[in-house]
Amino acid sequence: MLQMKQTVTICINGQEYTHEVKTSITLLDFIREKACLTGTKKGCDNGDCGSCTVLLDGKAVLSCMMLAVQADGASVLTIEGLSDKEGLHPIQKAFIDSGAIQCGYCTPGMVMAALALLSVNPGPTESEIRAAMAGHLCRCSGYENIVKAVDTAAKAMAQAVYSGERRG
Amino acid sequence: MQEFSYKKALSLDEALEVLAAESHRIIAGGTDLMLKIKHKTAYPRSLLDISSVKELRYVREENGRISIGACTKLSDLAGSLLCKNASPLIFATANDMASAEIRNMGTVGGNLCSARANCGICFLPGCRAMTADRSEIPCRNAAWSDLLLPLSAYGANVVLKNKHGERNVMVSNFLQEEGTLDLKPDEIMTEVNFARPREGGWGYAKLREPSSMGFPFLVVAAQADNGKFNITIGGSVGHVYQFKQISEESVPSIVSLKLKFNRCLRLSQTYREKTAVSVILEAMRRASEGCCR
Repeated sequence: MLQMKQTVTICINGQEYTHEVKTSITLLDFIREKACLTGTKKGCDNGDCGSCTVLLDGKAVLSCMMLAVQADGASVLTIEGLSDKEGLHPIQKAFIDSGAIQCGYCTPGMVMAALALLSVNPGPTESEIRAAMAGHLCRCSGYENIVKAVDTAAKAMAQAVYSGERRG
Repeated sequence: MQEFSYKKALSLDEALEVLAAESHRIIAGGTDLMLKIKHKTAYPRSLLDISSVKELRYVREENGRISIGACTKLSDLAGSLLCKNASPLIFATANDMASAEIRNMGTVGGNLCSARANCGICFLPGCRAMTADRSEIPCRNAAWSDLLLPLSAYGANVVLKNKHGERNVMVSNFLQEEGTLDLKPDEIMTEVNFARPREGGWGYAKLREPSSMGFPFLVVAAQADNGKFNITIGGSVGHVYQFKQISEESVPSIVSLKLKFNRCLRLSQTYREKTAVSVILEAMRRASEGCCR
């Protein structure tokens, strides 16, 4: 008899979520429907738009293209895990300050991609930013302010590290 | 989405035992298979996940041969110093493929085993995803997968293992008619390997649409060889072509007489024929300048 359900435990934003799920549900559906964290968006559900991007064990992945059972035992960071008691993350602030948000549907994925980039490359060039954001579609903004926001965030985070503040 | 059972293997031996006992569809990164399941062009009843088999994730050099484990992520290749120094075509291709997110998920074995890049995602008129064609034959309108070209240019082998042993197959023979594979149901691709290529004189050019995340409609690798060039051509063409000792003057006749173009929903054959000459010459120019070392 084929087992079509499995119990899955995924640590999302530092909290463990354990659910018995169909083996065919995606990580995105687990995050949105089982963990009830709806900040991660379902856009194309096709691997094209990037709005479902989360960090899986520190790497940016498309949660719509991955099964929840594949992420069993893994650690996931979603947009809800970025802000804390001290307020918004510098990337979130930069997106707001740079006018990089219009309808906002693509923004959670963009912010997570920017975080993945800046965690390995704290001072990216414009072309490196554009390459890192290539898998993200925005149908409102025209992209220029998004590139500007990532650059602004990089500088703010470098300044924070230099000043000995939180968040490297 | 269609329902299926799922099993995760933690070692190669475990995966081979499972496959010997019962039939499963292999999933690693899943970026291709997930799309096929969503678009109902693949109907697996059970999946065997080998993405956690750590022994299949490596890039190394031994006795003058470069070996790449089948579960090596595309992002591993894109960041590999050995790859950068020893196999610049693969390094350039890996850095140029898809998006950072997909490179973090997709694997070398997965890219080769979905040799005809995914069908049913263009949604142009005639696209299989918009028709009643639900066969598992790869889409005739799709281009060949990205890694096929540099691995063919390097004359790479793939290593296929089952419970009873292993066999080596040239990449060019691994791929059969209509994009099907020389892969038995109880086999797993474990590695690709090739002799360390001669340094210098490699060039690479690509026609994509769109320029980021687009299909590789035409991809050319060129190697300068005593004033002439050895070229490998992939993309939306009949198969991966290889020509030896070609001069720049002979490129137009090769394109018009020897290349067979696939039907392609996005770019017309006339456009691709005209562009192919420029793309091949660009790869040759880059090879002359040693763009890929």
